[in-house]
Amino acid sequence: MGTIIKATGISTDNAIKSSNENAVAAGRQCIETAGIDVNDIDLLINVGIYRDENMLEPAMAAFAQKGLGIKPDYIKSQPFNAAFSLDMMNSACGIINAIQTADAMFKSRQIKYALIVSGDAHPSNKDLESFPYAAIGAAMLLEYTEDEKGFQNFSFKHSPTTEHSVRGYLDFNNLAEPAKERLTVDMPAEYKEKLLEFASESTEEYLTANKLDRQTVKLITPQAEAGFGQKIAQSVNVNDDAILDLYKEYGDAHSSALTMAYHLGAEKGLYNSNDNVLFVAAGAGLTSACATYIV
Amino acid sequence: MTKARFESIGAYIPNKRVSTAELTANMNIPPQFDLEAITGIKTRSWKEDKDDSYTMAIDAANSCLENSKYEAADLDIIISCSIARFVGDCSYYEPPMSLFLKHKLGADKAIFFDVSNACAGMFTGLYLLESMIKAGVVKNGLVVSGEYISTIAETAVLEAKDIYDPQFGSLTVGDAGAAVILDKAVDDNDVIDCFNLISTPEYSDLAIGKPSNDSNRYAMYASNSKMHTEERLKIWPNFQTDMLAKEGKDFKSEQFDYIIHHQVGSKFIERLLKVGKEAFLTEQPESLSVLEKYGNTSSTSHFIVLYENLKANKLKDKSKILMVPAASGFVTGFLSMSINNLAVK
Repeated sequence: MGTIIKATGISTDNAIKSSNENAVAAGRQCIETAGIDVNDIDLLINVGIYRDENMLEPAMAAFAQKGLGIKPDYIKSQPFNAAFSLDMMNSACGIINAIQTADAMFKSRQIKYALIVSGDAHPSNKDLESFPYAAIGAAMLLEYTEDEKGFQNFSFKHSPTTEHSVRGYLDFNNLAEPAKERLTVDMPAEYKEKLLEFASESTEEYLTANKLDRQTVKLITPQAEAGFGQKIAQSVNVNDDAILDLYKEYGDAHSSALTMAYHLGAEKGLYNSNDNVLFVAAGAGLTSACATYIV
Repeated sequence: MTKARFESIGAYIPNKRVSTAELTANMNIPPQFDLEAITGIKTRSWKEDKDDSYTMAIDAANSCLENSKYEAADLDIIISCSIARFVGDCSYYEPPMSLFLKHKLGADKAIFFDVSNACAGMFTGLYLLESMIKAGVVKNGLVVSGEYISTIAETAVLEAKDIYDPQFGSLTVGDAGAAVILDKAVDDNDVIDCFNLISTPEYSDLAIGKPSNDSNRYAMYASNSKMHTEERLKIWPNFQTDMLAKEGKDFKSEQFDYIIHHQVGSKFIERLLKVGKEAFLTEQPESLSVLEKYGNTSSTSHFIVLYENLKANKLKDKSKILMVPAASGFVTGFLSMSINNLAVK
């Protein structure tokens, strides 16, 4: 029994700079691919971090739920036809937290499908050098199956201190731009190197602890810079043939990185039935999150 | 299936109070309304200079741990739920607040993430945690919110023009931290009986919190008259009626002793009690409130009410409590629980 990926979707249109629009576009593609009735989606989790206009509330997931037409109004729906949506934030690792949470919800509540969407954007919706992430959206539709497949062995790790971490915040002392267009992303010079080291260590520990076959396991990794995934694979002696180097084309898709990598990999036919696909997320903290996906 | 319970609760309520008279006296445009009469709020809790979202969350978490059998190192998960995530003057996106809290508390083995769901933030954290306990993913966890939200009241003081101004509702808010530890229920006296949340975003654009259009502060723009129509308010009783019916139950047979509504304002709570009475066809339980003293402490409001009533020993033994969230989005639902041993030192 396990939580499996029913479908994925991505939004990489350069013309879309809004995190909400990208999340909705990816969600729409995902739902169309799955061919399901949106009314069967009972849970929607947005794991995007950087939002349009530095919006505080409501949850960005509310806009995604509305944009996708997922049971937007209870009174006008049939009884019991209810969905719940929320934002979950844990840098680039939120996707793994969300999958684990959805898995727990499948096991403890009556829900049919869970949709995880993501999208990051500079609050001004402009292309700015100071913003290190790509305006990309991704969506992953999950369902629960009786088969011995899907996600398992979730593992989370963090560094002892946050000293090497990237920090993203809205600084109310900095009056250079209007607050709704302002954002600071402090990325220490050593951040990507430390992140690579940390992600590699986490992957090594996970592979050993879970006795995964390094000859056959396929990695889905962050794309914090060119060759990031390949470097992780090489450091843990895993074949890097199945790793797509997406950074050059798309940049760092941050909260959407893993879903996008899986989506494009699946399109290329990289994953076969019963493959062990290891999802490795890594981001601010430093934090890493790993889970095995049995296709 | 395993059930969860409120193992402990804690709060941090700043000592500072700002009266409605003081707040409105500072308005650029003299108020043409009696805010205290409209909202029932005499004073609101207000952050002190030393406080921000992070410190209030830490203080609330420590208060909760003092009331708990667990130590920080025992926690399996920390979920931070505040609307803004201020450390000093900076509102954080990453790393998550929950990681800062975990480091400070020494919750070495805890996994962590933040949730954001407007005033339903703590309900959202509890909802996910309850599911994780039921599914056996974790044995316990801390849900915490350090809610520094009075900045939107300051903005409204400077910018709101009249009672119809979309920032008018911001004048109700106060600051507080709240924390709850859930673990597995061991008997029927302390247990979460039924917990369901619903998001109905058809009108999600009616309440938006973001930096002000006119100044460098957070502001809240809410069309309360449109958002709180009778039809919208009925979502809660309709939803709860339907969910209870699935289990062959109804509101009356649940025999709630107390109800805690979101502390938006006294008129709002009165309207919800009326809507509840009409929809459930029965008298509503005793409504608990701390509105008069603390105002609307947003994501922490229900939990500050519970904390204060437990602290003052005002609840009878073996109480059955119903909490009803109401948040931008629009998010509502219900959390019903039995409590007996839950206590505040």
